[in-house]
Amino acid sequence: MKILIVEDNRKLGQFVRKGLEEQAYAALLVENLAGAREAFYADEFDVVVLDLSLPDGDGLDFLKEVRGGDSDASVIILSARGDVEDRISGLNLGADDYLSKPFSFAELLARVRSLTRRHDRNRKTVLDHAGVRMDLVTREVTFGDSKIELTQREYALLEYLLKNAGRVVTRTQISEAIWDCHFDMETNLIDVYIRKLRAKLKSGDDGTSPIRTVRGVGYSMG
Amino acid sequence: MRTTLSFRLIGFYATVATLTVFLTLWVGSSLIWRQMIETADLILGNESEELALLLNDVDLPRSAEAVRYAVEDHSQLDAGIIYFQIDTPCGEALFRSENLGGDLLPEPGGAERTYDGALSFRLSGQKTPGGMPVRVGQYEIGEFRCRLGTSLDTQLDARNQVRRLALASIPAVFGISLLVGYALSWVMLRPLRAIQETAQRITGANLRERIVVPESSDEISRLARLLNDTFDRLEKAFEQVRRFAGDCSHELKTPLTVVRLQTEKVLEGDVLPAEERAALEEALGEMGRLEKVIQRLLLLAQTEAEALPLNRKETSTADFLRNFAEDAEVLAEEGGRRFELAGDADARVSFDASWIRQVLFNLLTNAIKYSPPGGRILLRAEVVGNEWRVEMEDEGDGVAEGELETMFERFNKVGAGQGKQPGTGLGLAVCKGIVEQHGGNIRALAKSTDRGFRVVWTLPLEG
Repeated sequence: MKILIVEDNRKLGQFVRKGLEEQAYAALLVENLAGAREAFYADEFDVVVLDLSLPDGDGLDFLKEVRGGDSDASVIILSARGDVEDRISGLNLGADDYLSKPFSFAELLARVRSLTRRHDRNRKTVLDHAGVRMDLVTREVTFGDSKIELTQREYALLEYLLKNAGRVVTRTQISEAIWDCHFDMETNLIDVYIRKLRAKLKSGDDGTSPIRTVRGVGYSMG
Repeated sequence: MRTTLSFRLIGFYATVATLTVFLTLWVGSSLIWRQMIETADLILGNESEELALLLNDVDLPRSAEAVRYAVEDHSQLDAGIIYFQIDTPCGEALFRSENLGGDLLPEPGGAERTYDGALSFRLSGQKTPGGMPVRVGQYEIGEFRCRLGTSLDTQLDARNQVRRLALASIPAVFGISLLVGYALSWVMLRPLRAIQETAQRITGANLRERIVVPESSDEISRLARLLNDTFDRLEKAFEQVRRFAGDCSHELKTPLTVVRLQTEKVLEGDVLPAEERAALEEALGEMGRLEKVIQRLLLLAQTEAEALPLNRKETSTADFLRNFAEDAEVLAEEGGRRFELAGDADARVSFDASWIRQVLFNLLTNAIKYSPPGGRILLRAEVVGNEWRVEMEDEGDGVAEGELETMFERFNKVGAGQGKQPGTGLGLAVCKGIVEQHGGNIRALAKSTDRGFRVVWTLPLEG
């Protein structure tokens, strides 16, 4: 997995590069559009982490070039602009994800990881993980041998966790997926729903649940 | 503007035009009438002189026979215009011209005048006993009292025709000048309408456009120039807000990210002594608060400049609120309160669901925080007139009357010092900004005896 980081703040860029390298990704940092073009056409990358405000131009222009070519690299926009407008135009131009500054590294990592596995699991009609079985057609959920009754939100949340089973999903990702909300909702809604889900998915013997909390980051299934 | 100004102008114009035409015709008819009377008097005067010459030659004794002999030919010659009636001073009839046909010339009523020092006469407009309008002059010529008359029939007809025309002109002229005035004001006010239309198009998202200044250097082009200057200043102010938002984003958020990433990194290994760890975790918490403040200030700057990009979609209000209620019940229950949704009035309203939901979340969070355990939080929605009205009410202590106005200002901490966890003091200001950018308004209501704190907001319905 090769990642190109385009970020003009050197400290931040290097921090992200090191962090990704520690996670066994090959990462290259460039600090402007010219460097990005040079690197991108010289080599092949799986993921581009792209800042929008660059000293020699707008990152969105580079995004257009990437999408115009035949590369199938995924692009995560990393922006301080954080505007809904920028998000929409970024996603319209073909960006795969959008992360507003300030972010935590775990958030970035979670998104890079979900990009690399974006295409699996999406077409299944039955999700099955860690004893939880969800039929997307009949909307029936079973845990072990027992049938589970879920509210609409609980169902949507569990579906999202199951689709990303084995991977950490952050609170922001959850709020984007379930509430279509691209900013902090400033409530503990997600934690409350997770708690409710856990209460319903509790194994009888030791009282543990397949939903794991990843401290300071989010949750993961199994 | 059009309904008042141009209609007032048209009304004024039409009234003035109608009055002018009417008065012109009416006064004109009177002037012409006077002219005709003068002409008649002149004719009568001339005739009296001729008659005086004839009467001088009357043979003595002055019998009716002798008078007829002297004037009959002459009277027949002028029969088309003049009536003759000659009497003795005591009223004995001496001669009646044939064209009188048995009718009589009445005695004129005017004051006595003298003519050439010799003739004294009186003149007035009269009707003969036979009903014919005449101008009659009575002249004392020697031993005769002569009355000469001329018919005013055609003159009167002409005058009355003009007067009828004046009356008839009132509705006609009024109608025509309404039409002309409307067309005129449509043409004259066209530059104003263009200004109005352009000004309406100019919004936060479209500040470049300017009014096209008309070629002429009249009031309207001055107004257009003045407005364009105002738009220039407005655009500059907008640009400043945008630049501030941009600067803020770049200059604050990027370093903040670096600080956060590094702090997280240090915390990661679980190698720190507990005390240092706690300190860093607190720093992270404060960082989170700082991020939130920056985010909200940016949001406020944007809503104040009406530059918050809204992704409006026409939405069923009932569906939207039911959807929200599901989350609200869960949150209230978690906080040990009860949430109720009342009213299922449905309407189609165009709004950005994520922002409006955020308004509701902010209000709900406040309500949970300030209502007593087990207290009820009621969300009431209704459609009143052309508005979608939503009200959230809790059973808390409410706020003092004086604070109602200021609560929506920045950094206002409602209920501060009540031992609750502090917020950013921006939540309600953000709510106000979001609602107002949607074209609605929000306000807090005073606590009445059985109710706690109430916040009401409204959004306009479609159309």
